[in-house]
Amino acid sequence: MKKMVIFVGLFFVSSYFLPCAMAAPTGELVIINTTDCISMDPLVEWMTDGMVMMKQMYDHLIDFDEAGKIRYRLAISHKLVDDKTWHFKLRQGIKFHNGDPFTAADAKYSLDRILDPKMRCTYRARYLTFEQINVIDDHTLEIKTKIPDPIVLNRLAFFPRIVPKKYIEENGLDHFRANPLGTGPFKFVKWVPKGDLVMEANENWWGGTPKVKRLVFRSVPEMASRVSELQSGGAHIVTAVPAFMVTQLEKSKDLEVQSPTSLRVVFFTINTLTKGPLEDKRVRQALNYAVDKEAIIKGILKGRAIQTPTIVSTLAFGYDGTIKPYPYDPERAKALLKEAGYEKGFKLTVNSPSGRYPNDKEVAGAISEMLRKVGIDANLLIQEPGTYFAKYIKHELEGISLIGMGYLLYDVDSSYALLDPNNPYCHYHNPELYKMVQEAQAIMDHEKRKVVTSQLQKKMHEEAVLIFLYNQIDNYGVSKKVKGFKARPDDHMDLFGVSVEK
Amino acid sequence: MGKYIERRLFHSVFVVFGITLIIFLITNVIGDPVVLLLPPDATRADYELLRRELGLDRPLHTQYFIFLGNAVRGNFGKSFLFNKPCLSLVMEYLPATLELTVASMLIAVIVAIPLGIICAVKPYSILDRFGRVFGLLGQAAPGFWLGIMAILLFGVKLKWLPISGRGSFAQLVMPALTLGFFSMAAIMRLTRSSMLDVLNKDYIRTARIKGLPGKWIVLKHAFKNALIPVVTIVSLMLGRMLGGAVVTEIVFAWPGVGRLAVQAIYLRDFPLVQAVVFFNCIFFIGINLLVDILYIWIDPRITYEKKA
Repeated sequence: MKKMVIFVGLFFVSSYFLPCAMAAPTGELVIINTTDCISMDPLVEWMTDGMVMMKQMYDHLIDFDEAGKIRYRLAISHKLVDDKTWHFKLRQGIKFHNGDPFTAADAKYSLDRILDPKMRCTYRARYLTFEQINVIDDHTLEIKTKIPDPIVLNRLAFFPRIVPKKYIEENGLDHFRANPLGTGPFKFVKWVPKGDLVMEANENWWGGTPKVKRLVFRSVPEMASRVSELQSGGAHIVTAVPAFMVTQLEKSKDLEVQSPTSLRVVFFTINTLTKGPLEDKRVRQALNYAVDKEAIIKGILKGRAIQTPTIVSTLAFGYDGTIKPYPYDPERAKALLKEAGYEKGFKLTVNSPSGRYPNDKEVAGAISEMLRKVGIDANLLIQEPGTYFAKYIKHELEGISLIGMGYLLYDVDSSYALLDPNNPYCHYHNPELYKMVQEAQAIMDHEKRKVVTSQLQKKMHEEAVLIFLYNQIDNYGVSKKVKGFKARPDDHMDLFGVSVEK
Repeated sequence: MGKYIERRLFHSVFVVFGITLIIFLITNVIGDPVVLLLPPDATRADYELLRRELGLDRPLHTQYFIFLGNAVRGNFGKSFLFNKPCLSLVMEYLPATLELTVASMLIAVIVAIPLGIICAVKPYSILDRFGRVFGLLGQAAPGFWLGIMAILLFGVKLKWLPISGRGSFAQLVMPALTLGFFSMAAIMRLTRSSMLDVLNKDYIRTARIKGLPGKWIVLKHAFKNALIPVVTIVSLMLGRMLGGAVVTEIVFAWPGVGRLAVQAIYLRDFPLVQAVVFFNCIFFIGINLLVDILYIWIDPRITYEKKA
């Protein structure tokens, strides 16, 4: 009996120390991306790379897992009270990096900042359905929407990060931005603008202790330099590896390439707002038949893309995989043009930005050539992205225009901008399709919504609203010393469980 | 001298005024920043609201006078992208550019001037031939290519030096060498030709006949007289570097003003572009003024005072 008591006592005493000894974070993980942070304030940081970095320091209420499923973080459950009221139960015992407790007041404060026009949040437009955020108690938050909004969870998972209300109100915004703190798995150490952002493990994180002790993010815009850092051992993970470099990296025994399907879909919008041949559905269908998408994917993108028959990302909710893509059929394209009265072709401008999307110029150039083969007098016009998009939203780009659309909400909802006549990105007005969009936006039941969005995509496909092209595939260069890293479609990185071998 | 400096500063005001006007007009016609600051699902109302908040709904001339009025008080407004005062942003990035510039120029001058002198003193020797080829290649090789080659050799193949970032001396070596290489070649070539020109002068022949030591003739007499064009080109190179060695900063991910400027231009961050250009103007003007004063020290025959 005495021995038993001693044994049990020793067991409990040792179990107090053992997790610390086993879980102590070690090593440094260096990640190189393309764009630096704008700010340490997650409200201001709207660029993708910056959002990835912010996510290490700040938690969401909920977020997406690597498959796009909703995952609880600072929230532990949710309830739809009625069509316009959502309640969220929050995790208890969470502390900010300075020891302040996390409560519903912090969540309300963080969401209110997004909705406040004075804060100039870039993504405020995605939260216009939110009417009011209320604190029910310290661990219950209420979100009221203006209209029934089926993707409230997606909106919460995409962007809002929780910041410390008391700390900001006591010290001011400038102090917070210079000395940021959140509840995330990593704590801020230092940031040199355009230099290194350094974080260290938050050993008291509610989700456990991160495996790596130190995180270093650095932005290296030049592609060759970025990849060289990986090859030299100066970095462990590198983003945006171009397709033509993948084979070279894969040959290295120390490196590997992870290629998740991206949430970005690339296509050509067709400007039907100006009177002309493009108003005719047969002409738009002819454009789709005239383009050999597989050749573009194989030849220009080195196989690093997936042809898609619809505007929706293959990973987003609502994607209809039953739709058959337009096959490459130049003879059918010519027949359709003849039927529409354009046997001799017509002048068409093929617009593309330069360097905005991977191989954008090359893709546009190849497509121009393919259109010429069916008799269309295609004129390629490449412009610098700032000028390109300024003209695009003013509808000054006639013809067809290359656009990429990211589905960071993991939902078909992101595509509606292209059918909304009130949205500057819309170059095609079709009241019937827009009515279907409005119908889909009001359906709270996901299965019923899926039926409507599927019909919408089929209709868009039949009407050839766009020249449907491909879903991008991203490429990450990863050192084989890195364990536990899995590249995600939405560019985010779950670094909590990642470690680096010596 | 005092009056000369006053006159130069007075003229500088007009130079700065003219340049800021040109840059203001150029940045405002090349595109709409609001488009680049909002996501695709932003509504027209969002565009108009942001345009109003950024003051872009005002007439162009009103925007310019507001900018000018604030600029003379040291207020360049807030960056559209960073939502921070432009002045403090430029100041944040300036130390990195200064560090790179000073290091590059030191390397360039320390190598180029002695090499140029030696090549001039021993014309058509093997060393001179090497120097001339080096000068040609140095000015012909694009900085972008040079940087990438250096990365591949010293970073990837030999693993001698880190490739990107700032913080350690090792991280400074490759960017400084890359940025300094063009200047090194240009300064070397000008030093050589200037020295050759001076070494053929009568007073140098006289000094030789008098039996003065060769090194004394070269360094005390010839070099000092050859210095004015060299100082001129060094000042031009310095101004160019201080403006932000954009290519070098991007290739090596060096966190300087050049990278900031590129990002500001791509995203049409007008206030930040204007702030960067304004500071570049001030630097150029300041450096040119200093060089003009230095001329007087080098050659006492030079005077800027108006003759009665």
